[in-house]
Amino acid sequence: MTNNERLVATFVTSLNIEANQVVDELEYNTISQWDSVAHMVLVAALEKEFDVMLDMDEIIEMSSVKIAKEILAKHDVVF
Amino acid sequence: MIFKRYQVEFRTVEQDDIEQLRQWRNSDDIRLMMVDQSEISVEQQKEWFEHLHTQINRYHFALWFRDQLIGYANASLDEPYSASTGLYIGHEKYRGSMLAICVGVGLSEWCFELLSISNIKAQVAPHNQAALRFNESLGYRVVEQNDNWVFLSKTKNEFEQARKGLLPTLSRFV
Repeated sequence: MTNNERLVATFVTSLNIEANQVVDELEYNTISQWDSVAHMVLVAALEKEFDVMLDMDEIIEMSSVKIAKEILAKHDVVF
Repeated sequence: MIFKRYQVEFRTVEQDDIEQLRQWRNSDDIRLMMVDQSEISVEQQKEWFEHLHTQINRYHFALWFRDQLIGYANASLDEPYSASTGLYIGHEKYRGSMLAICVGVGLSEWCFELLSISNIKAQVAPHNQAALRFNESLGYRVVEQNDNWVFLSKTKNEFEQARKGLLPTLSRFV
């Protein structure tokens, strides 16, 4: 499984959405499933899946799928 | 500053805050979730502010994050041993963000630690599923519901159980 597939699977499970919804343009708070509560679930799931620890700024800044990838890339996750 | 939790400062509401708070409060996405959904005029806001210091058992907070006003919260002791709370994050960058959870948890902690209460109540419109999910994540359970409102309540123990699940992520905000 590629890192992108792992990321998509994590979004699907955490937000309870379809895989085809997980595109770079998907933004936080633009769908009802990605609210503040789901965001916490998503952060925890991404940290576990990619074995990283995000800081406060990264958690706040992670406002889209694209930015999530950029943040994970800073933690040496290659997409 | 009255207190600080999870990087959010709960400050006294000052004159300079009230116009920004009024504009956020009047925006549809916040106003339409309120018990009182009427628009607040400049004069009404000024009058509200001038009476804040006379209110007993009602606490009003301007919420600040990194030296920016981001929203408002309150706690009221309308019944013996019970508080009701409310909050909104108005700053566009932080609206609906993790900071809302930081405020919700911080406010509940403050209420249970400093007020002589056994439970905290909240009231949410039935269509506001985001607020229902938000409150349930903070330990609230539904105690009553009618066509217009869902009434929620939580004990200190229920809150602490819910907080356990939030702390791994919240710990990044300490």
